[in-house]
Amino acid sequence: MSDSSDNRLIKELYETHKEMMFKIALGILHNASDAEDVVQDAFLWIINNLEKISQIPRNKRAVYFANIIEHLSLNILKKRRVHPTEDIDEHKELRSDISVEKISEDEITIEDIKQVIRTMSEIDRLILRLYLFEKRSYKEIADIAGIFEGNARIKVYRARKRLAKLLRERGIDYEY
Amino acid sequence: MNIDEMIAEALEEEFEERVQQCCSDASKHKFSLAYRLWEYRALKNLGKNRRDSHWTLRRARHIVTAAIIAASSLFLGITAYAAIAIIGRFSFEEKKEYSKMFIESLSSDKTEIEEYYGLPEEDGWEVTYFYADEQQTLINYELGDKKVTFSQEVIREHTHHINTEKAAIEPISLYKENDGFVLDFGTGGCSLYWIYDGYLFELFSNFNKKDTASLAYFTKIVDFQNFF
Repeated sequence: MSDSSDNRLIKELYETHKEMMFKIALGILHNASDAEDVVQDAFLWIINNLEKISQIPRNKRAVYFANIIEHLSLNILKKRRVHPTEDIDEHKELRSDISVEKISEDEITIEDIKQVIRTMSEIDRLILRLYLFEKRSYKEIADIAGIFEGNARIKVYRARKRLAKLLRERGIDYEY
Repeated sequence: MNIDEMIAEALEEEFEERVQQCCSDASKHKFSLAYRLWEYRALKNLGKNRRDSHWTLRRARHIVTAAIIAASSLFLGITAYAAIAIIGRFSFEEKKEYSKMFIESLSSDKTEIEEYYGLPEEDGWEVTYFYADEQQTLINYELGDKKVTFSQEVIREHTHHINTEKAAIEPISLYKENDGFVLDFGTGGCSLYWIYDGYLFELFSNFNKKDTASLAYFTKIVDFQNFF
């Protein structure tokens, strides 16, 4: 690719995805200034990895960039030493007096589970996605988040525990 | 498909939906002045050398911060220490050659240093002297002809003595309003104090207060493992 076509591509990527990337970062960091930092870091990465990016199908780029943003945001969180969900639910004992009808495994749908996932924090969703969908090891998750491996194990464990609790409240049995 | 596989698929689908929602959301964020400054330079420099686009947002904020401090100082027009008794959590009692400084303590103040702050190494600052214990650090840095003494300490209920013989105290706002003050010695150097993350920081530099304030803003948690 020539320099001028590279520059056109970068500008196009930037203009197309800047707002989306900011919103994804803001969803995790809840701080506009930090979110702007992450968007900047992501674009610097894109600028320096343009050849790789140009091979990604156009309709997949948004998700690809959003992934980069989430990984960078996780790292910023570690530096801020803030994990909004870390201690919030840990010691909460929520007891519901409403009895929930169990759903059999055959009846569970992806949409049921998505409805539960939408109630979780973006950080928990990201941790679970790294572990369950991308099948990252604890070490890889630790490297992405900039934390120790033991800490990554704890984060995965707690996220799965929160998910299990939410699924049980919907009548879905989930052993983790 | 077992439930773990369903959860994995649900997580990915939810993420893609969220991304699409963000893409189609028409609301636009009003990016900060510092960001827009970085954006302008980054996109402008694309034509020259892509790798030079790493003119960081932090440096853009440096310029914006320096401009804010300059504007604040002009606005306040402070020239005499006697006009200031309290700045944020700092209070002062003026003496002939020095002033006593007191800091209001808060429950959120740290009782020992949990994480060590320092100047950003990636900007080229070299450590020429290092001391640290659980209560305070004292680090000398150099970058070319610039010299800085950086200190981090826990906030204690004792009197600090600061040299105000030939310096006026001016308030500054690094992270929040009046979270610090600067002493401009008029000889090209200054001393800047501020409170952040439950610690008291000091930067003593041989250059102007605008650059010193910007440097203060960009101090960050540093891994000093090599020095312990």
